[in-house]
Amino acid sequence: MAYRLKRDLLKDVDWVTDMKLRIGYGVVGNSNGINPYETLTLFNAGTRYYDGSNQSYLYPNSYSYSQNPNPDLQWEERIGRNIGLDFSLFNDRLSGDVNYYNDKTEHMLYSYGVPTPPFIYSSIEANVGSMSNKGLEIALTGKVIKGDGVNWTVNGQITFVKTKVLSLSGTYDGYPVASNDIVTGTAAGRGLTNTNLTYLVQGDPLNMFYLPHYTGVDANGNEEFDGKTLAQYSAAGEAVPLHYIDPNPKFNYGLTNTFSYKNWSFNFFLRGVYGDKIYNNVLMDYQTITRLPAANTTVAAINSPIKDGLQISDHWLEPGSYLRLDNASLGYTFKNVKGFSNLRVYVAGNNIFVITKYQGLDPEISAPFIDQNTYPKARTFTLGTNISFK
Amino acid sequence: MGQIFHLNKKNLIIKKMKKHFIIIIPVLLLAMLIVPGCTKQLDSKVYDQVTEDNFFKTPQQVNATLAQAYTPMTGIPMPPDGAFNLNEVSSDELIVPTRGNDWYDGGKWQRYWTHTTLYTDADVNSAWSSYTSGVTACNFVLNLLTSLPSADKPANASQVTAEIKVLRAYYLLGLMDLFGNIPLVTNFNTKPSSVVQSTPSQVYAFLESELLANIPLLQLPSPSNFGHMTKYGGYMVLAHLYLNAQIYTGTPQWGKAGAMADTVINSGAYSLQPNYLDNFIVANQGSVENIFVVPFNNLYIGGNSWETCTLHYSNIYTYNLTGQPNNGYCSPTGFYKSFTATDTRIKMWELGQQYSSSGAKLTDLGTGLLCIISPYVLQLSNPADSFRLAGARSIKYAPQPGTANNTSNAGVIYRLGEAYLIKAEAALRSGDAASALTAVNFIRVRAGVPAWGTADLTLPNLLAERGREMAWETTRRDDLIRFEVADGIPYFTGARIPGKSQDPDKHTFLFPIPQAQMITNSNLKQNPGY
Repeated sequence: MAYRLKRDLLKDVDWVTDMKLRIGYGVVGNSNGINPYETLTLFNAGTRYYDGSNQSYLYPNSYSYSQNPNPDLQWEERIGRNIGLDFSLFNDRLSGDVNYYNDKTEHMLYSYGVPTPPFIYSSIEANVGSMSNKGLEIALTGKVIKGDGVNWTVNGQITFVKTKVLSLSGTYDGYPVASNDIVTGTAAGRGLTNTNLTYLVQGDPLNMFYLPHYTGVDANGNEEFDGKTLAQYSAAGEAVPLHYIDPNPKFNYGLTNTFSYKNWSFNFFLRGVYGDKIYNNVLMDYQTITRLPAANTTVAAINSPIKDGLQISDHWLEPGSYLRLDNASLGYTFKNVKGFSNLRVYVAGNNIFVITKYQGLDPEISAPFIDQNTYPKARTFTLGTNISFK
Repeated sequence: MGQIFHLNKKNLIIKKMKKHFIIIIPVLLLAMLIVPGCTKQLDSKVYDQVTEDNFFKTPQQVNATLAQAYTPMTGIPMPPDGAFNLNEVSSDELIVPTRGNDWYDGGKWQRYWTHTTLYTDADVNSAWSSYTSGVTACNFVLNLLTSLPSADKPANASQVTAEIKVLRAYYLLGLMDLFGNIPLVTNFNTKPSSVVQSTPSQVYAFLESELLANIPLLQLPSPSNFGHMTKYGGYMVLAHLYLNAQIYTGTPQWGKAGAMADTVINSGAYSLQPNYLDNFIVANQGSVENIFVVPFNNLYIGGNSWETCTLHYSNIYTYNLTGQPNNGYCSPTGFYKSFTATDTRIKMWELGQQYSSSGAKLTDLGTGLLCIISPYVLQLSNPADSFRLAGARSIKYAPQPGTANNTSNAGVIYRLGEAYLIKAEAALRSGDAASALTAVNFIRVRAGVPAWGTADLTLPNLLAERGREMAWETTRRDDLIRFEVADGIPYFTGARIPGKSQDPDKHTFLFPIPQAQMITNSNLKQNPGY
């Protein structure tokens, strides 16, 4: 539903070119999580088995039940509520929109834990939980210079999102199912099998870290967490205190600039993320002297006060904020060249620089925000021409 | 150009969408009205997947479906299976010390050793899941067999049904042995909210009657049913149930345990393999001693990672492996020392200077030390270079050249050697020392150690002999608990080198019900003490 303010209320305000207030409500179904036939009992070629009765083919495939079927599977529903303002001011020189939304996903599709027995598999795809997404999106476009020869347009947008898991348990067909404290990310490295880092926690954003808090080292270089070493906790019969840390970004932003001057055109696009945290698993694995001399370490490891082995903690959690010049291009268009309807030469680059405090290869790490040697983005430069003949 | 304006375009699309929102809502409302109409069409015929209706028609399909009841076996008896880890590392015959930071793994190995296991520890749920997936797979197969129209039933349906029931009894026994109070679910169509725990006594009573009724219907062993539960495999399950009866119900059943062992021994179907370690070689299908095994294959049936878990990194060159072993599992010093030098079974341990296959002395590449494996494991965790070489490694299951991580040695669940030991223990506890002596001396003579006289046949000696014969075959935890329950000596709960103090009480006889199960089934009650 929208209300165009310009039509009556602001009809006589000159500097407002157009303004529209809108509110929306909608329910959108999403079945992306459902694979075909997830509602049925299916057999799959499973593990091979030994069949002594057939010496010519000793290891045939077994056929087994491949999933817990859920005949009641349905779409999840995202109930969208938003309020927004579209505006265009000063004769279209400044335009933009502001949009606030508060969505709630119900009957959330997820692979929920079920008890074994009686189920064969420990999870079932079901519509159980709920999740909320709240966000504010602001997009502005300014035509800073508008003229015959020179044009400069700036387009910026910023997005704040808060996602919260409201519920992960409930009942499916009278059966209790639950997935609270589901592990979403684990550490990698020697001696770190079964070491969990991130969890889905009811009432919190997605992918919460749950870690000991590093406070320094003792005289022997053993790491201390909240003031005590692991050995001290163990001797006292206490558990190491763990803390929830939300790694999700505070906001994302982007800025596009477009210039043109006579035959020249120049664009660049900056974008970034602010306030996220990344677990530098790679640094944790290498910034240790306990692997010497068999494995490489960082130089910093030798000077590091930490002398003991690999311990997960918030010490390895780094700010992941970054600003990236995602792309830029400079072009020149030749006008009125005989035989050509269009002749343009340009040079363009992708991923030209990244400004970040993050020590790993690339701060652009998707959820669950654990850097395990993610392949960094390539930097490319392109020299090109667009030609069309008459 | 297109690349550069990529995001602009996206914005444009979003803007367009917003402008069309007014149109979208009525469309959605319309769609919502249509959706209920669609549900009926979802019951469409499936052509490209296998469902209950279009499978289970030929004997091969039946066999391939029955096989799923056996596949969970590959996740039970070998390292690093959860069931293996819980049974072995909580006993006194296997330790996984923290070497520097290697094998710390969140402290789980230290917790199993010191009997401070948490209900969140990975192996707790993995052991639970291995056994319960066996139980539910058996339930599933039994349900299919019953629901088949009689014309489609395999000719040997009654024998197959009995075999799956005995196999299920094996899974249930293993589950009950670790966790005590377990859900006894024997019908595939059980309503999940009705699943509650049964006491060990109730499970015991069910297993006894189930086994007695079904074992007589099973097949005799033959090469064609290698890896299957045969008649004598069934009697070994029953012998185990009776042997540990006092743990489960408080009432010992020595006589019945001995009788079941006798049935196996006197069947003539098996004899002791002259060379003890031949039962565990890569091609051990020919063993005349093994009764119930899990077939593995380095290419087709993974799950036997013995060599990977225990051998030193440098042993890759000793056995020409294609992947580096992980230098983990080893024998505690005291347990290794219980073998005498003349005992041929001591050859299961790897110690001293390690050599490459061409005879060159190996070094530990990580530290530059000569690779000399020491029997001493005197700390639970030690960052010293030398500690990487601590602890006797097991080559009981022979490493297989050209493999990494998975080998082809069949995993031995039951063998005749153990039947003799069950017989000896049951007879001794029933006051028949003469029969006990005969039975145990079969084992001792085969091992190349002097036969015992009457004076040697004491309960502690028998427990030690059982340790040597059955080392790392996942019976030790039960053995220690059983002797502790029967004789009141803290074999299981007592202090242990390195670093284990006396347990505060006997709740450690059982493991905690895993967190994942507690969350998903609110009917479950945690075992006392956890």
